[in-house]
Amino acid sequence: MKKKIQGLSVLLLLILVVLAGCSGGANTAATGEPASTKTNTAAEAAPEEAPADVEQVITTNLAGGEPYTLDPAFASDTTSYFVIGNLYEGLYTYDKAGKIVEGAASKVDVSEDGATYTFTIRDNAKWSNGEPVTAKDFEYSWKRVLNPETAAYDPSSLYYIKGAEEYNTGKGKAEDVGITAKDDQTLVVQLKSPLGFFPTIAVGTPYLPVQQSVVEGDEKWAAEASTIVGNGPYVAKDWKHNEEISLTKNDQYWDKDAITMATINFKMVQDATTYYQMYKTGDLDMILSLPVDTLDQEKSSPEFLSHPSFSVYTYSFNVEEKPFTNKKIRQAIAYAIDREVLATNVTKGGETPAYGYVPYGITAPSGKDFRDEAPEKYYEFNPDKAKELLAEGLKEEGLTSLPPVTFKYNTSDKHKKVAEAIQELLKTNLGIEVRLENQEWKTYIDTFKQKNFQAARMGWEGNFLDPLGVLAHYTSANSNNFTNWKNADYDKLIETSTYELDPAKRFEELHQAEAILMDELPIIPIQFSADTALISPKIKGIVFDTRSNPDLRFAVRTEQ
Amino acid sequence: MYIVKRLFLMLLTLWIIVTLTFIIMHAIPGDPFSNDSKTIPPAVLENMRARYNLDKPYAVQYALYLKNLLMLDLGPSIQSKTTDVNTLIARGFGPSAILGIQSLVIALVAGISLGTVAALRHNRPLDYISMFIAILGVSIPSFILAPLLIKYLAVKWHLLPVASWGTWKHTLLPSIALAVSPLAVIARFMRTSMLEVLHQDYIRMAKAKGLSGRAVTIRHGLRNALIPVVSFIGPLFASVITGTFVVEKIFAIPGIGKYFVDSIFNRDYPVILGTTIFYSVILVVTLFLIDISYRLVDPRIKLSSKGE
Amino acid sequence: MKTAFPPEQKHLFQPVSREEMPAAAIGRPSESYWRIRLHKLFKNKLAVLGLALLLIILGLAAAGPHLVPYAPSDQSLLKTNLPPSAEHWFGTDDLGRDVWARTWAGARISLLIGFSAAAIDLVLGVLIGSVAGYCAGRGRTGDRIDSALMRLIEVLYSIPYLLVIILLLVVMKPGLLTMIVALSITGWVGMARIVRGQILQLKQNEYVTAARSLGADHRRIVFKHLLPNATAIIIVNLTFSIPAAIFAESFLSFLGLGIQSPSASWGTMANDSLGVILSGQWWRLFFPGLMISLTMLSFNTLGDGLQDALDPHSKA
Repeated sequence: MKKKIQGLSVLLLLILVVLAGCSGGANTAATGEPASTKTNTAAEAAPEEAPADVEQVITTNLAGGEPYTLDPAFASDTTSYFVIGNLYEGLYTYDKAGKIVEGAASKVDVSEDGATYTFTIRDNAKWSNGEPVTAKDFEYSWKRVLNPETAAYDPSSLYYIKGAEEYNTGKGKAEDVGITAKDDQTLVVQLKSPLGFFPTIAVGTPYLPVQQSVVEGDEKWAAEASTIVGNGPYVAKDWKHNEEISLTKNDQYWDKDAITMATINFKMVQDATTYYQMYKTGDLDMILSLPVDTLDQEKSSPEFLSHPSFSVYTYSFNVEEKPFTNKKIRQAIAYAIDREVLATNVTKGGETPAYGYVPYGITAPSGKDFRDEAPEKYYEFNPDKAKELLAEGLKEEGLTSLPPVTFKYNTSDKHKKVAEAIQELLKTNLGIEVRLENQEWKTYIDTFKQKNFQAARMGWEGNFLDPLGVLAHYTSANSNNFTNWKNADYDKLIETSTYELDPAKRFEELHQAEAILMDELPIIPIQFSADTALISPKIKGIVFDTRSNPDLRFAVRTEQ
Repeated sequence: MYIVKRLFLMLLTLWIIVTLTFIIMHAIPGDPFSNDSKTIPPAVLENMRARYNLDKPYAVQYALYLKNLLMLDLGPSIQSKTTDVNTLIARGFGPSAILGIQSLVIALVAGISLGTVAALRHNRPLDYISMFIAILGVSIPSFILAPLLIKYLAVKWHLLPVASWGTWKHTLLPSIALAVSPLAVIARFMRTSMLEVLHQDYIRMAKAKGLSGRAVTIRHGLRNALIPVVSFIGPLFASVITGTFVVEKIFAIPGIGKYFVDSIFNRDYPVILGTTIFYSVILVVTLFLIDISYRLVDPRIKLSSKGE
Repeated sequence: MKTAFPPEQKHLFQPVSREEMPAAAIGRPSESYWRIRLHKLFKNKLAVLGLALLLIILGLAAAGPHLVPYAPSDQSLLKTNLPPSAEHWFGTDDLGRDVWARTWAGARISLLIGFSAAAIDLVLGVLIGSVAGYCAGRGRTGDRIDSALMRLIEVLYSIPYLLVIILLLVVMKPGLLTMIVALSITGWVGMARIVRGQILQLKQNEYVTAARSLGADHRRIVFKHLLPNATAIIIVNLTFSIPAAIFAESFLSFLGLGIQSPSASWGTMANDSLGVILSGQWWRLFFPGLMISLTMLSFNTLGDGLQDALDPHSKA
């Protein structure tokens, strides 16, 4: 078995083109480029200089309340990610335009076969306690995530690395994992197979570094502001649990001059009505996820911003549960749900009707968005076609009419509203009686795992910004696929597209895979979700893109 | 003797509560790990379960838990990896208790006064006003009242801060929101039992003897009318000082109320048990004190035949 | 001190063997008693008003949805959030449903839940509370019964209700029956504690000793001597259990235990329209809220009237 491919000597121009952006710092991986980045300034991404007499501070809110943990190995929710993303920096990070660029690494070399990445750590990369960030820190941190005893939240994001899955599942040893610190500056990472979009994955939270001496010195190091040591643009200054956490600029950070916002205060107000009112009184400069009932009145405000997130809201069928064993009946349902009306009149938060499974936000090699590149808009509202398909489907099943079907959803105001609207749409357009049932999330997931449903709501956020990030959920082996749907062609396309290095070919395969998924229709995409926000006019330059949280580093306060 | 017996019974009750809660929480589906953005692959899940001893048989987990409990260790929170349950409770109990006690005082003082005044002014405007307040207080629950209070008192009129914690001013709105419903109940109880007492012969007798109206009510009436109020506030005390989920959430109070609900939705087993035990201890002790206080209110009451 | 009993109850002191006593009379005074009390109740204008209000609400719950051409679940996504008008008397909600139709369709569920809760309170709460209160201090067995019941109440208070609900959801199908089971588990404990407290106090009165020495058995003492004197407090507590149950229903339905969409209830309507506090479509919250308050009002005035009418000390 070949173990370490030294990629240093074989850095070829060809590879640079293929994996655009893995070296030099200016470019980005072909798939990692966000198609739509918004800042809350009118048009330009770079806002004016910070006025000298205005204190650069922003107060925003964590709608999830207290972050469960600020240790990147265990973080599992967007609330924790929001804070963690400002405290630590991986080998890759995002620039002002939302592109993936080198972070703690100054240089990345990729081997000829695309399977070995050699990272050079920056000379001036430092921890917030002043000690240098080394390649060993990364080796330690990644292996810590993979160590089965750590029981980290998302080790599977590292499974692309050779030996990682084996180590994590107890079948291999730590020494055999393809993560090696050759010296303090050089980290060599060997992947299982060449992976064109590795940067898109390696920018994720599980890949963030922690300092070994800190972690091993104090079991509860991540529980208090004073003991957290990071290498990111900010340090935790004050953490009043369940109340507020304040971050200030890390003066050890290698790129501190680029950071304009000096202080970020995160309040922890979970109730949407309350944080909305706190925004109205000026207690908060920015809030995310507005209460649904305020969308009508805020939509036209210059302070309002809605941005697509990389997630899709779906209803899944259980394809082994009658009547949804029948493809035509599934398709009939899809045609009968008017997604346009759901987005504009029901959810109202700037969601886009989903006429396909992969959300907007991925630029294909052709330069167009993946979604716009798709051969067709799948299942645009067509009640006549729906009736036709239903009739055909019923005939195939030997039925005269469809018995009542049960749609399940997990307990939430929004899901309830969407479910009620779908119930009525199916009644009006197809004459189907839909019963609704809801359960709280953990019971719901269990119901799902036991395949105890006919049709049920589900929405997965993309694990990373690539069509695979969502399409991979429906391979037969994926732990998120509860539909009983299995398709060998689909599995094969997903497999080959994972390791295909030619972006154009790769995207073609991904489109084929999506076409199969849409034709077979084990899931109906309802809408592509959107994040809503209100931002004070005094703050400029907050970057919003398909990442789950806005980027506050480059924001500027123009007035006190 | 009675007290020793009660103490033993308290421990027995606590043990039953822990055991039943343990059984129910493991009987319901779900695990503490999968969240709403992804499900965990089986192998990874196994690692997590092992770390928190969830892979062991229930009997072993139960024994381990009781062993730690005897040393007053409530275990780690699975959800917030770096914090243990003792710390969660220690951090949050202060704010919850302050709000709870403040709201109880408001409810008691205002409720008893309102009820007494209503009874003394039976079928007159003050009586009707008290009924009106009682009806509003109970038919506008805190989850509706709290945002209304914020909208008018904080946002429109800028009298008080919207939410969060810090100064005494921050505690006012949540205390009011918490107090309104018990205030209404206490006022109605008070009015009703006062009316009854006022009809009793000894009150008429006292009046006939020439005692003034106020002295009569305070000496005799109030004391006797307190029994239902005392019965009512026992469990209420235990629940408000350990925090209320709705009010703490709406006003962003760093209390422990949220853990009672969040821990269940998250299947954070040690937090479920820890908060339950904490609440039960306060509850059984309070109810014990209430039983004793019945005697203080009315010395004729006997709770145990031993005293006969 | 003279006897605490009104003259019409004097005959109760005659020893009557259980066999000769008609079953209905065990807990109920004679008919003439009720006639007098009813007469007194109807003389109370507020109580009559409360009764009338309750009848109107019940009538509209039956007929209301049929007075408009919209079914409670009919949506019109182009006519959402319309204020009250000649077309939609109570306006429309965020899915364009007619709030009038939903309010009265919802009344059926909410009133049913309210009455069920009151029934549970009356049956379980009063029974358990009076048994515990009466047994306390009556020898070892009595103490044990009281203690066991009180420990049961402590356990029921302490086990997280939400856990029990989730368990119920797993073992039972959602629906009204499940809802009523859920309400029965803990709905009665408050009443039981209050009744126990009352009984503890009342049984110290001389008339109880008198009745006992005249040969009345335990059941008689509890039902004829103790409970009638606790009626006022029981009625007050009952009126509070109704709105509490109406809101508990909305919480249980939200969790998926109770009624499911598109059915409405006052509680779920109020719960779903909390956002209007920010956005101003007051009618979505106001009308269901008003109906809960009016129901409360009618029960309160009726309760007050009953309390006056049943007061053993007042003259008919």
